[in-house]
Amino acid sequence: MSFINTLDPQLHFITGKGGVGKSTFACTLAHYFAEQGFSTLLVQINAEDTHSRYLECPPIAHAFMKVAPNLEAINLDPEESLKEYLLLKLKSKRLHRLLFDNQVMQSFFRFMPSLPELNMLGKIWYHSQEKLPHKAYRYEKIVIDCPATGHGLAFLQVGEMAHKSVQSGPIAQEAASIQEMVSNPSTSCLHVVTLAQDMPVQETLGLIETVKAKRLIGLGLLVINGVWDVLFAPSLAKAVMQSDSNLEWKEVAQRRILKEQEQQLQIKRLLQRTQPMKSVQLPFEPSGEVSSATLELLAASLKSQLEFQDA
Amino acid sequence: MLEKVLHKKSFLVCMGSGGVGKTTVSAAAGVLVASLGKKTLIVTIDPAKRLANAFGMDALAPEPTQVDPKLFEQSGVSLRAPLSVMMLDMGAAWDTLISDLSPDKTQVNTIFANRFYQYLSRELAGSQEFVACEALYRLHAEHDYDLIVLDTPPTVHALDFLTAPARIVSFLNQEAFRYFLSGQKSLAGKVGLRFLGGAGALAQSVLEKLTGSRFLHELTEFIHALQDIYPPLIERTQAFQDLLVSNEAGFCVVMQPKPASMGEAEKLYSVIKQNKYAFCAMIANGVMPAPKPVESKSLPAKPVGLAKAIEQAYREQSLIAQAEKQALESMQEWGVRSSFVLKLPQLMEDIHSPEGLAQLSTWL
Repeated sequence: MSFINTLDPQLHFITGKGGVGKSTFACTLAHYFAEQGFSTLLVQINAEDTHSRYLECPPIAHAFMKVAPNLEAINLDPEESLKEYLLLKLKSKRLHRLLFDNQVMQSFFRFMPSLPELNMLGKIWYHSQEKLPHKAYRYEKIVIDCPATGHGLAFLQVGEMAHKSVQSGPIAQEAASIQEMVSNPSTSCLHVVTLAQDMPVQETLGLIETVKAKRLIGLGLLVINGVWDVLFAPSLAKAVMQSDSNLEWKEVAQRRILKEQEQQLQIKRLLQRTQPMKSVQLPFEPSGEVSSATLELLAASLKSQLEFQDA
Repeated sequence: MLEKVLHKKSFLVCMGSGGVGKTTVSAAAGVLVASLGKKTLIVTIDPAKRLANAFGMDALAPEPTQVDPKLFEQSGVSLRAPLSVMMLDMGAAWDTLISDLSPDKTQVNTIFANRFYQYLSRELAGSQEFVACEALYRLHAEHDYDLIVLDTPPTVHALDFLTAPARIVSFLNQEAFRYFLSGQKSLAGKVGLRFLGGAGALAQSVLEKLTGSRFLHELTEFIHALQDIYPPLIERTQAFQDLLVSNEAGFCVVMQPKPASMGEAEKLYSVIKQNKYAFCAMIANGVMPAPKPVESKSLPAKPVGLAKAIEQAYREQSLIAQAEKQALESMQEWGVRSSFVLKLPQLMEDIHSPEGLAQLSTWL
């Protein structure tokens, strides 16, 4: 399987443990697709908007916003998605108001398992099918920044869950087609983001096993984020460790070496256990800066790794 | 610093987004307080094996288990009061709550078997936070701990934890459903559905079309089963809500000192302030120490490349330290006084031993 295949699907779901850089990678991938000339949509799921800092644009809300050439962004709101869904289904504003502006109905909708998630996925599905007058897809690539691991997997299973709980009627049918969209490897894939640290690696391995066992969704890239450059080759590291402990530079060097060694160990562990998944490594940014400049750098790094592994 | 703030508290609630080291900091805070002579319980939701290992256990139990004080003595921290630790089992906590509040056993079983209960207790957003509060209340009422440290579930939105009780109550609000249901059981024991007025009938038929009738039937059954539990549940929720806003509870925010994490921390802080919860501290975990300047001529000439590597390591560490310092200073702009900011230095290695926890507790 080459990279071309890995990035072929239209829908790209991104998940990982909290704090590993899911949003960073979602923005990077969307930026990469847009630069390749694909008409791209970047989606946040009911999130505290973080994408606007990378894209250097106004806050992203529940409305399509053009943020760069070929790139639009949106932050889905569950209630708004539900309203849109009902309007689409009921085709009558009066009936819609009757259902939605009623407190009893509000309680009812809250009671329905996974309904908000289903509506948000449904909206993504709806827009993935949209075509322009000349028959091309409105969005050739859709990048979805999912909630953190546990919630992220639950999110991908809502179609199935909603189908089980409702069983009949239009909602059940839609849940089934959403499930089909997620689980079809030629339509959708899941990229898993992690840091090369013990706990995130542990959780990532568990996540990948679950996805495989349940055949939830096709697996895309394993993204190892925040990787420090190896400054100290083994011979240099050995020289540092054996040096006199009074040397004033020793602490800085030692701290860095321990970090590098731990990272390399975790990367090895990840790569061994996730075969044959393809992986990319994104560099650590010491200044911690979040801007479109950082995004450019990350997208360039992603591009060169994809091309290298493709060759 | 933390010892002063915790002087009169019975609870310490540690909040923060995922991956910031909240569990480790909560554990270290527990060790600190026990070393000061307060009988302490640490309640975590994190099943990480490493944390259990750090307390000398294979796995954390779902009920309080006392930690062997000898573990920490070796690292120079003596626990002057008993320290216990437990892992909160969310599903079990919900089951206990329902069993406690239900007047009879048959009803408990009806509720447990209902799919809506499974959803409510295992998946509904806010559900975890709700039972975490509830468990805290129960532990406080049933035991005599001087301080309970709660490691909260990681939340997507800052508000989630603090607003969970209110949201769950409104979710279960029977007032709304009273209009929705006839409230009568027919002779066949089936529960009926009735909407008020003509518009209601229309709404019902639309809902049935959208979801199928079985769904509505099961929902109705669930709401009926909850009827007796609802009033005591409201009472209980009010009681622990009162406890959280009382002076007995203290809230701290655990965060990473990275520029990208500041937005989240600010949101948590402002939510605590707005709701008049007692704010204790911002705890920045893993702060990179600024390296002492090194002169190039003192760097080793051999092996080749070592001097260059050290210079680069030095440059990057300085850059990180500088960026973190600026990020932490920016908290003053939101009104956090620097005396309320606790900086925990980044340790050389991950914490997975009693020694590590002991060291961290002394920094607190």
